[in-house]
Amino acid sequence: MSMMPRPQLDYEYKYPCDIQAEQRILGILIRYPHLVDGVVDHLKSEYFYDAQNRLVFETIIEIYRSKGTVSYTQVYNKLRKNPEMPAPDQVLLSLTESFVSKTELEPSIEAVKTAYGKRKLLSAVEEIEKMVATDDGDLVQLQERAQELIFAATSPESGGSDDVKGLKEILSDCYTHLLERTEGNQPYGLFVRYPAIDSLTTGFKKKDLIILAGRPSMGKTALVLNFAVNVAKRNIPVLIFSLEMDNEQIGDRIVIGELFKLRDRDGQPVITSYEYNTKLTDESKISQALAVFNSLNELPIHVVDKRGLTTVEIRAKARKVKAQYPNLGLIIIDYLQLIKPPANTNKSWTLVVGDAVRELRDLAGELDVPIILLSQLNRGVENRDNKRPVMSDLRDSGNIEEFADMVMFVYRDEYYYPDQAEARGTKGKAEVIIGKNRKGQTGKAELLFIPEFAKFIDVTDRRPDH
Amino acid sequence: MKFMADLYQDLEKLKILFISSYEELLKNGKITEGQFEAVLALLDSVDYRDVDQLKAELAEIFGPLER
Repeated sequence: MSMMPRPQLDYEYKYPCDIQAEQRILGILIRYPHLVDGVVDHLKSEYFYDAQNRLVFETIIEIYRSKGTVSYTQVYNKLRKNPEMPAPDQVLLSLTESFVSKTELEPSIEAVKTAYGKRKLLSAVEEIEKMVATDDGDLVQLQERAQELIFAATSPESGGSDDVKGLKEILSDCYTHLLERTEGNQPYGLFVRYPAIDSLTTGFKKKDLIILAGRPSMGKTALVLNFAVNVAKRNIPVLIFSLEMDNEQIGDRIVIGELFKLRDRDGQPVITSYEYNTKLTDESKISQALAVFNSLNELPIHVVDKRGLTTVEIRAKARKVKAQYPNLGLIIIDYLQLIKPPANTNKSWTLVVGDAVRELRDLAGELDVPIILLSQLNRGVENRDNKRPVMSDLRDSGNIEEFADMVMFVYRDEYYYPDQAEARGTKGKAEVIIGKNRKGQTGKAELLFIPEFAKFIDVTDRRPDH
Repeated sequence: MKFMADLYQDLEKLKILFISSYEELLKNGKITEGQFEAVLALLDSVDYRDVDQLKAELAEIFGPLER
């Protein structure tokens, strides 16, 4: 792409930039605010070279996030209170001059990203130059450091639609029909195929925000992945935001969960998770693993495995997936505390968390889909004798409880008292405690947990594979 | 299309100049923050109003014009 001509401004730019493209982007976004959703996942404020343009971009995002619309008046009103923007009228007037057709948006973004990439490279080169000139140290170390800098400067910016990946596939017709016959038309909410849980929740309702909280190692991720597979097996699309594990780890977890079903004549696992994670020892195991892969291949599970997502980015990606799969049935976000707060916020952590939860509840409403939001619990739980989480354990973490339609906790007594598990009758058991439920009962569902396969099993489930 | 784009630009420029002038009045203590905010809200929906409505709403914010 050829560089656009330099803008007619009264100073020289030291680094590569495309100020006109920056202005075109801002002008278009103010004119067509609905396009904001399509750009937030691949356009960052740091891509803007001009500090004032960067500020205008952040302001547009902030206004769109809170109001769902943007106008010059609103932008002006925000900027006039910002000491870094002494003359908002001049800046905004120049944007109206730069207004062009919205078809210019993507080429302008590309131009701005290209200039940003060049600046990063130039900056790395300058640092290397300085380092080489001033450092008398070991040549190999210098080379390694230089390679690191170049690698960092040339790594593609993450984002875009590439991080939404489908496992692409469907269930066997037999299994779908069997479940349909068993469940009828699902008059309530979305069942996750754990009768003990489903009977309490009567299914996850559309537009609901469900919090699934627990201390680390309780099995929160494992449980929601079990939910996801059970839902997707009915050909209902599921979208997972994994802010901690990458795609492959999620895929491995799903496969291992399904390997649990493969048993030999003695009821022993055909493939252990250890074997899966190291190597399979014979052809028969390879072909059986392949069969599991094939059975999962068609599941409509989509995973976004990007760290540091903001709620704005989550919303944008979820909207895209919903547009692509209108029957999207469940969104899972793993987990709340890893969602990146908005830039330049001066709010307390508690308020930031509260805002994120509220925005995700709004998203569930907008997309007409239940959202399960995982949340860590703080250590307070562990300072008391009965370590079962209770609603008040959420109170230190923003207004989670207030905004949630349902709050569930995962608890495994055996984790805290492994030596007493037999005596306490908790060996292999897990509890899913429904602490709040606006549209159903509260109570406790007991499950079995098989840690080796990260698999939860309903104790009342009598299916042969369990 | 060029014509529509020009019209849009002119209208948005006008709004910005309008706000800028009112902000000067606010800084000089001639109008209150509340009046300024009301003008902003009015400008945000000005595209849906005719001139008479606009005059009436401005009069509501600042009182009738003295002649």
